[in-house]
Amino acid sequence: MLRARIVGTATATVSHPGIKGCRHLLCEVLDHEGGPTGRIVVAVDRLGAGAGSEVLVTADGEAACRGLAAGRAPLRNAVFGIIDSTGGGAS
Amino acid sequence: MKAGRVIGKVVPSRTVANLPAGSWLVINPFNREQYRDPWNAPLSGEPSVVAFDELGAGEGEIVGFVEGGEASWHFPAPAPVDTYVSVIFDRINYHD
Repeated sequence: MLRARIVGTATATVSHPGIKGCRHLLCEVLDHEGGPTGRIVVAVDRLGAGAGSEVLVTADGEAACRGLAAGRAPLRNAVFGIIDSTGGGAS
Repeated sequence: MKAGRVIGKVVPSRTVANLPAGSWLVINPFNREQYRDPWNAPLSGEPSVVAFDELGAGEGEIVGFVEGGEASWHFPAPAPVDTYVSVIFDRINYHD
């Protein structure tokens, strides 16, 4: 699982049938302090995450494909949570 | 999935059996500079990858590709493919 920030969107003209119509977001993986790492992954989004949102992205294809009609599709990354706030261990 | 630009094609003379019909593309994976200006930025310094393509992507096109086991698990029979072109992008909007 990755913590990431939405840094853009991508639209596809042609897709593998298993992920046709999916919304694709550019997600920049964040470091432990919430800073940018420069690593950008393209993830499918079904939650409607907006620009600048912090999200949780799965890096497991099995989880990413859950909910797709086709079952197994060539897909690894999907947004599965929108982060409200993050906190440290001791408060 | 990562995005990258198709910069070439590989044509094997012989392959193992059980491969579906498709082509082998050479892809230059993006880093931040290419996401900012996907169609005009110079190539990234990332190592190129060879990906299996069934969508018909051509040179210069921007594609999304998946690496690892997910690249071939939708094939009806096991195939030695670990990088697969899942989408062809026609627009990428990057904002810092």
